[in-house]
Amino acid sequence: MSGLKITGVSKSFGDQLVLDQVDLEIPNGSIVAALGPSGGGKTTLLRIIAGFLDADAGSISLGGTSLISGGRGIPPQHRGIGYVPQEGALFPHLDVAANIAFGVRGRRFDVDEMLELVDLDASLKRRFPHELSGGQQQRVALARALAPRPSMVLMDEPFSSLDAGLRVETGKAVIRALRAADATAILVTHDQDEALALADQVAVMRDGRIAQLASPEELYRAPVDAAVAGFVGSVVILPAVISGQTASTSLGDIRIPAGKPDGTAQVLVRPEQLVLGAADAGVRAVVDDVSFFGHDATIRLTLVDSGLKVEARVPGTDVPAVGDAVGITIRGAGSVLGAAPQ
Amino acid sequence: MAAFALIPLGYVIVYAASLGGQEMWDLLVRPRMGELLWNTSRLVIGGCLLSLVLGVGCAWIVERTDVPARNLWHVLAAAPLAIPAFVNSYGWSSLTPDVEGYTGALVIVTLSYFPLVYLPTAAMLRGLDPAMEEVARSLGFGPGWTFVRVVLPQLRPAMIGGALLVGLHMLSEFGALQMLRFPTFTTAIYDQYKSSFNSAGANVIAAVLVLCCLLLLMADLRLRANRRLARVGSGAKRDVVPVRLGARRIPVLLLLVGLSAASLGVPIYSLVHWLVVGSSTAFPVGEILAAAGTSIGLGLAAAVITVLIALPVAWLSVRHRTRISTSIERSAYTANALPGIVVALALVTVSIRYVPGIYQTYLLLIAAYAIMFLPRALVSVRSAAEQSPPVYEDVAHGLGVGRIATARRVTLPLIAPGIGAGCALVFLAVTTELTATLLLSPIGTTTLATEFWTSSSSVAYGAAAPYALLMVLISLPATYLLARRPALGAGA
Repeated sequence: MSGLKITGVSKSFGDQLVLDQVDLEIPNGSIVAALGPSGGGKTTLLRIIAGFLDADAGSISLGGTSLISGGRGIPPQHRGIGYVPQEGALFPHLDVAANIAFGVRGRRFDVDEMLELVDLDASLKRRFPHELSGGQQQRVALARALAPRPSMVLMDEPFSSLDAGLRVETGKAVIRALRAADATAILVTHDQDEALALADQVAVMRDGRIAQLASPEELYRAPVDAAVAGFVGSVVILPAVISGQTASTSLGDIRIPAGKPDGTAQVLVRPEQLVLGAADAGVRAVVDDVSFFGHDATIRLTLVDSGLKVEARVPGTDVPAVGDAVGITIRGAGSVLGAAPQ
Repeated sequence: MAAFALIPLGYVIVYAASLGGQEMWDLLVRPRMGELLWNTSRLVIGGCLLSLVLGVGCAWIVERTDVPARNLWHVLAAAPLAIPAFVNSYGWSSLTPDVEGYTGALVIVTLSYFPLVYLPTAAMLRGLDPAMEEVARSLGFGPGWTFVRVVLPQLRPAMIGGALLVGLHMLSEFGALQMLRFPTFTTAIYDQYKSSFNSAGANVIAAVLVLCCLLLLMADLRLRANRRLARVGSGAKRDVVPVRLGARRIPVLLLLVGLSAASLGVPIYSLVHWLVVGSSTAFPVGEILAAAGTSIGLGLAAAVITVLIALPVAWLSVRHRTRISTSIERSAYTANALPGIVVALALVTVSIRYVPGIYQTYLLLIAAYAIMFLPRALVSVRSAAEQSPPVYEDVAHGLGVGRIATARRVTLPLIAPGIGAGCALVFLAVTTELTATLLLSPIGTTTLATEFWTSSSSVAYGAAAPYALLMVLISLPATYLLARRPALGAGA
C-alpha cells in the first residue's frame, strides 16, 4: 500500500529557503520521527503536509491521492490528516468527550473506546481540559485526532512541554495507541532520545533538507556524516587508513563494514565502545576529566602516543580518577563517514 | 473614602423607599413610562447586538484575514472612540434631519460605541492559540465552522464585557439621543429636571434607570459565571496563517470603507464643512480659549483627585485582600454603572439638602467626575500595583534601603506608568463629559462640551464646530491609550 509520498517540496519565507527539494516516502502504518535542530524546516514540512501552509513547489500524495501539486492544494479540512500540536490545544470550552467527538460526524461513536485506546480512564470524559495533567491533555489530543479515523497523524513536538518522567510514559502510550489504530504518523521533535526510542524511521532534517532517513539503530551506528552523528549522540571521530574491512587508527585496528574504498577516511565509534582497562592492555591514555552521572560516567582522555583527545562512557561502578593512566580497547565495529548509507 | 462613590446609589434607593406605594404606582404606570421603557430597551438591545456584529466582524477581518492594510483598519476601527457620540450625531443631524428617530439613533450611537466590543475582541483573538483553529481544520471543519465552533465560544468573555459597556453607554447616553430626538430614560430625566427642579417624576425615572443598569450588570455576571475560560498552556506562539479573501476582498474592503466613512468620515466632514461655512460668522477666539481653559483645568483637577482616591483602594485590593477591601473596590465599579445624569441628580439634591454651601461649586462638579470616572482610574492603578509585587520591596529592604527610600526608588517608578495612564483616561473623559457638566457646573461656567451643546442645540452648527474639533483633538491620545492597551477599556 502506498502511504505518504513527498516529492521535491520547497518552501521559502521571504528570501530564506526553509525547505529545499525535500523527498520523503513513508509506508502505511509506519511512524517516522522528523528530527533536527530548530530552524531545520521540520515544522514547516509538517504544516505543509497538514495543509496549513502552501508549498512553493513539489507534490505530496497520500494513499495515492494527490494533496498538492506545484503549490496550493486541497484545504486542510478535506485531507483527512489528524494533527496534534504542541501542548495539545484542547478546546477549553468543551469537555474531554466533546473534544474527542469534535471531528466525528454522521456515525455512532464510542468515546470510551477512544479513551481506552490512549490508556486513559473513562471517568475523565466529563472533565474539562484545565482539570487534566499535561500528559493526559496530550493523550486526549491524540484521541481527538484519531477519532475521525484519519489516514495519517501529524504530531508537532507533542511532548516538549511535559517534564522528563511524564515524557517517556506519555510517548510510549501515544505510540501504543498509534500502533493499535494502525496509523501512519510523523512525529516532529528536537529530542534525539525521543526520536530514537519511539519511531520506526528517523528523518534527520538540516538546512531544509533530509540529511538521512534510517531506522534508529542504523542512524546511530552508521550516520552519513559527522554532523548527523553528533546530533544523535556523542562521537569519537578518528582519522584512519582503510584496508579491506579494517581501519587503522590511533586507537588501533577497528573492524568496519565491507565495501569501503581503501585509503584515508574518517572512522566513527561511539564513546561507549571504548573499554578502559589496565594501562598495559590496549592503547595508552591519561584521564583528563570525569563527569559522573550515577548510572554511567563520561571520561575525557588524551592518547599518550598521538596526543588525540577522545571521550569514553563507562559504567558508573568502575570510574577512573583524573590523572590515571589507562589502556583503551575498542568493542564492536566502527563506521566510515562521508560515504552513502548502506 | 471610596464609600462616597455610593452616595448616588444610596440616594436613589432612599428616595424610592420614601415614596408611598400608591404614589410610586401612579408615577410608574403611565403611558409615557411605557414609551420610555420601550425606547430604552430597544436601543440597548439593538445597540448591543449591532455592536457585537460590527465589533466581532471587524476583529475577525483585521486579525484573521489577509485584508490589505490591516493596521490601518485596526486604527480606524478604534478611532470612533475619539469622537464623542454627541459630536457624531451632530455630524449626521446637521447634514440631514432624516437620521432622527429609532433607526438613526441606533445606528449613529452604535457607530460611536462599537469599538468597545472591537478592542477587547481583537485583543483576545490575537492572544488565541492558532493551533486550536488548525486542529479544527484538520478535523474536517472549514474556516466558517471553525470560527463558529471554536473561536466564538472563546471570545465570549470579551464579547460579553464589550456588550455590557455598550449597554451601559446606551443607557446613560444623553447628548446624542437628545440631538436625534429619540427620548429614553436619560433624556426624560433631563427634561423633567429642567422643567421642574427636583421633581418626583425625574427621581422615579432615575430609580428605574438605575434598576436597568443593575439588571444589565447582573446579566453580565450571570453570563460570565457560565463561561469556561481555561487556558491550557499557551502553545508555541506563531503567526496565524490568514484566511485568503480572494475575490471576497473587494466587498470586504467596501464594508470597512463604508463603516469608517459612516463612523468617522461623516462627523469629520461635517466639522470641516461647518468650520468653513461658519467662519463667515464671528470666530470667538477668546470664548473658545476660555472654554478650553476651563475644560482642561477641570480635567486636570478631576484626574489628580480621582487617582488619589483610586490609589489606596487599588493598593488595598491588591496587597491586603480582605472582604472589606474587595467590597470597597466592587462598590466603586458598581457606581460606574450609574449614568452621569443620575449621579448629577443625586448630588444636586443631596448637596442642596445637606450642604447647600457646595451646590453650584467646582467642588461638587469634581466630586461627580470622581464618582463617575473612579473605575477608569482604578483599572489602571490596579494593574500598576500588580506590576509591583512585595518581593521587590523585600529585596530593597534586604539591601538596607529604608521604607520611604524604597517607596521612592522602587515602588513609585514601577507604578508611575499606571498612575499616568489613569490620570490621562480621567482627564480625557472629563473634557468630553456633557450630562453632569450641564447639571452641576457653576452658573456662567463654560466648557468645550457645554458651549458645543448650547450652540448645536440652537442650530448654530457653525459656532459649535470649533468646540467639537477641540474635543476630538483632546480625545485622540486617550483613544491611542485604549487601542494600545485594550485591557484598560474592558473594565472601565
